[in-house]
Amino acid sequence: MIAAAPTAGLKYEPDSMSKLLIAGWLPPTDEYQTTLTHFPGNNVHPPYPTHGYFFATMSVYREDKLVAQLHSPGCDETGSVRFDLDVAVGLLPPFSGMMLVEYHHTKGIPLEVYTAHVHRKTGSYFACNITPVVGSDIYPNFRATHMENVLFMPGLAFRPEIETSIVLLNPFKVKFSYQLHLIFGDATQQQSEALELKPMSLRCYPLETIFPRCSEKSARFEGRTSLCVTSQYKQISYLMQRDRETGIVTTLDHLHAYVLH
Amino acid sequence: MELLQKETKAGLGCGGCRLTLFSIFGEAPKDLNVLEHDHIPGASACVKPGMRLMKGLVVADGKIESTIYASNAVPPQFIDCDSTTELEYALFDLEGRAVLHRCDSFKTNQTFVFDSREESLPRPFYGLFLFQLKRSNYGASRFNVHWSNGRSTTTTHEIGDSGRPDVHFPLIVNKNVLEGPNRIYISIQNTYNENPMRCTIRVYDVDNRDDITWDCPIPRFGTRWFDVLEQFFRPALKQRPNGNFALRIFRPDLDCNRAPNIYFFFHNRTTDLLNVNHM
Repeated sequence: MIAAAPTAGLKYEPDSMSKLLIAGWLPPTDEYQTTLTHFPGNNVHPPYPTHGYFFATMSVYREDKLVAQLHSPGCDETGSVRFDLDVAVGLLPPFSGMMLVEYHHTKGIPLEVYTAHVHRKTGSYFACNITPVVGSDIYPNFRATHMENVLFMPGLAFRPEIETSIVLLNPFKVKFSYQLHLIFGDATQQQSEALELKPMSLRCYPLETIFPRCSEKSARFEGRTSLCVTSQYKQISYLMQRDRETGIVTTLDHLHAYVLH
Repeated sequence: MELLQKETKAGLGCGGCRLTLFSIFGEAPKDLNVLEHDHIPGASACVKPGMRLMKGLVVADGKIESTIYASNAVPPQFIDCDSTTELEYALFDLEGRAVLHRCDSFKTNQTFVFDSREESLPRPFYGLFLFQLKRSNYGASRFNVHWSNGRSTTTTHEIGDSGRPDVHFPLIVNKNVLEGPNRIYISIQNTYNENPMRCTIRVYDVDNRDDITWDCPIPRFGTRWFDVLEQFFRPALKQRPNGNFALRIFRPDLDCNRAPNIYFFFHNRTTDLLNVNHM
């Protein structure tokens, strides 16, 4: 599957490699240039191995269809793994979708991966840590121990200049059900009906479309409103804030796990 | 599949379902919040289970002001329970001097708010916010910080003990970025009782590894705030105008358990919009 040839001097040894699977949101391709630049050397130090080999494949989905696939060259810890999505999606009609990155790396070396997005008209920038992973075989229990099917975000900014949305990803080959809950400053709650996401797809909901009067009600509590997402399986979800006037994303951040002890 | 989905349905109705789909994911369910669960140094999840002492950044410089939110909401699977607890918080300035220290009660489903606009802080203020919960917490306690300049608001969460002693800024900077519409700021915080914490800031050309490094000592609980384009990238691009530069910040001893807190801010001068994330 991996088309990239190993960098000269690096020997690919399957037994020594591990694989990280991560998913992220691809913002509208006509509005944003999206890149991924990862420096794997960050964790190539004791107690982690001191020599590594790294490369990745990025799959891009529109709705639930695979529309592009990119392969990075390999590198060692002194290099970087880079993707410029324009290479793959520039020829396609504009769309927003899901990126699924299959990151191959030397066993025992953990990774933190960010995507970067530059607004084409203004140069405005946002970055997102997409490391909340779908799966990993460096930590085989990662899904069990680090992912949740109930996530939370305190302090939503319902202000006139901001549109607040929830982005939910389903990087699995089965459909995915979930509910959204708003918790207001007076401890009252509203919840959505059960919603569903098709396999290998993503949805972005402005909260006002799910909770039509939430802005009015939340305004009374000056930010003391929180969002909870309950899902059928462990979820990957992000809170997004856009500037209403320009449509520019000012925040894309993952939700939090509850602390239950 | 229908039965499987029914049995694993989450939400208010299930009263505590934390199951996963064994047949799909091949994993055993495990509560990440059990106390004896192994901590994974340097784990990449941006998750610190059971963290009751949280650490984040407050900016109050007249242009950017900060609002902190933490919720004591009860998780849906717990239905009704009393999660009332005590909380304690403190704010430290650039040099790690405490400028306020307070205790309060944190009732079930209450939202904690700290707004820098309502505080008489010595401006411009950049500092460390410590937030501690006093007992088992059934709420979604991790605090979020909203940084606002009046025109826009951007947010991310406290990063406690980041576990990342060696990080890269996720954008390669060349002369176009340097002269572009964005100003970029980075805060580095020493969240430990270590005086000083020494960090190294390295700007290097990704093509030939030419670099410039700076030593960055940070006092205990102190904060450093940098205009990174002017202070770090401009000197590098002056030496090599066509270079493509990366920025790396690391503890020379690479101690995962004593890593600095780092946030980066973009301010777009064309739109006056802010954006933040952490490293």
